[in-house]
Amino acid sequence: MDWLEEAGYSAPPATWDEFLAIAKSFTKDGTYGFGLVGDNSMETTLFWAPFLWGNGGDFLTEDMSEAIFNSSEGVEALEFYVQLYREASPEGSVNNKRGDSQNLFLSGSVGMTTVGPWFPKFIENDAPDMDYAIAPYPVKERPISLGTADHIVMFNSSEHKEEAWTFMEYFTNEENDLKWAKYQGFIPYRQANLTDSEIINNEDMAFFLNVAEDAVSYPTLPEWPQIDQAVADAIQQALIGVKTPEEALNEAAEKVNQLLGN
Amino acid sequence: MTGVFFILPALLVLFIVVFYPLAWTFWLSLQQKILIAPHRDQFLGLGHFQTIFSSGEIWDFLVITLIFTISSVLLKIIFGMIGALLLHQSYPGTKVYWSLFTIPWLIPSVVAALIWRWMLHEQFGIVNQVLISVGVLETPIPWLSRELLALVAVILVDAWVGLPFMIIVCLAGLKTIPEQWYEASRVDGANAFQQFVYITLPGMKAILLVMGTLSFIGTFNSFNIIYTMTGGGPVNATNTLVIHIYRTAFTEYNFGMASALAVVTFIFISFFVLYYRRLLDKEGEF
Repeated sequence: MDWLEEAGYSAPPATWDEFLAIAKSFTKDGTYGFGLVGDNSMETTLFWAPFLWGNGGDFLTEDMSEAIFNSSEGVEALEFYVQLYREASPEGSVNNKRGDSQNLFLSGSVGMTTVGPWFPKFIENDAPDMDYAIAPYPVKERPISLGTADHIVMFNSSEHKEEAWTFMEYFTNEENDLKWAKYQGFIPYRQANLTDSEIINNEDMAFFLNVAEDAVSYPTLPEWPQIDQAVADAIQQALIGVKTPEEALNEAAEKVNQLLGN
Repeated sequence: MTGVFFILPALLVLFIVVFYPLAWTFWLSLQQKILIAPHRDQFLGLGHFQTIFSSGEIWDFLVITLIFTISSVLLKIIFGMIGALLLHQSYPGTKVYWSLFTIPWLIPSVVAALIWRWMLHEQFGIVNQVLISVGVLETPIPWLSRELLALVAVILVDAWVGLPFMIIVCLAGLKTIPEQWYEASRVDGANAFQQFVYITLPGMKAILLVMGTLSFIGTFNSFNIIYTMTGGGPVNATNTLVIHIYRTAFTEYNFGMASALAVVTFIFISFFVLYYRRLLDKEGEF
């Protein structure tokens, strides 16, 4: 059964308005449009971030000295997220983690959710008959995708820097990078592996490679985990309605600015 | 003098796993210590405590902790007592029930919490499924996504997990009350209710007081169930002090602040431990 066609659309949503309209039309008889994540963890920030960036907003100023996620773009992005929650997501989404929203999708309870390149493997295992397609984030101000950067870290105070470095080199050499990427369903870190035939010939992977061009990732600074948590808390407050999106983001921004020493 | 050598191993273990971490936590609580920002490490003195008490959030978390703890302990004591009274009868099959009752206690609490999180899930949960199919509900309820419901849910699950132990202890307590007392009272014409009020309860007083206090301390520090079920959410509705400390330490890596919060919690809990010691001293005369 093709949910999109049934709702009268021939293509995945290209804009926010279309996205909301389609999500709303999926919301009936116990099914929902969007598997939203809204618990009080970093996974909620992860789900909201593309809406913030897509609306032209950002978390911090370029020099990472000040919070700007409470700008009008940010507030609008959170208002949209709240609207998605109220009109097209299960109420229980505020306690859902990423895994829950994926399960909702796999079990056919929600029509759309946000996933990464690892997800096609899940579908293959858990819902092999599912007819699915992957589309980029709907566009508002600019096309966007979520890039998450993983860091391999060596401590400055390490007594075994050389050995650590040897391991890093070994782990990320072309051969192992490709193995890791295929095993995890990740995009390879090494450019040379981006042309690996198994990766470019996989339709889903080719798609993710393509949208990676528009990917934005979190700022890298030591305070990020605290900023992340403050934003996640603000999102949850707005979703439940104890604060308006503007109030919630302003309070979080105040907290973050304090952290950053302003 | 040789006695010292005999307790030395135990002292050493105690030192390593209790005193050293305790002292280290106190020391950390005076520091600016964020694991991923080592360049900003510095001595703060009482700075963290100033932040904690000036923001006032801690009182909200203390109130949630107290609501959670008192409700859960009361449930455990009331139903523990009822369960023990039921199992104290010698009907055929009480042994089977006894074994069944201990199951929640035998399951690792994280597993129990995961099972309940799953059962209470709005879409996949069997609780909603059953309530809808028997006609109690029309639409599913998101049990863990509304502030009050989530708090009630974690209280009930915590009580469910802790109940078996309470039943076992209460049962042991009931067995210490001499059967003759009941016989004598029956001869004097006491009914079941009077027997309960004038024989069972006074006989159980020492055990109930001690278990209540111990259970209070254990529940106050309860972590697994709340963290697994709600993570402290929605919007801090189930954010007890322990959960708050964990999140500060391990999602924000702010070990200095987390230690300061732990010290404050330690002071709160110390009052209950002192009270418990006084109870024990008093009951020692019993």
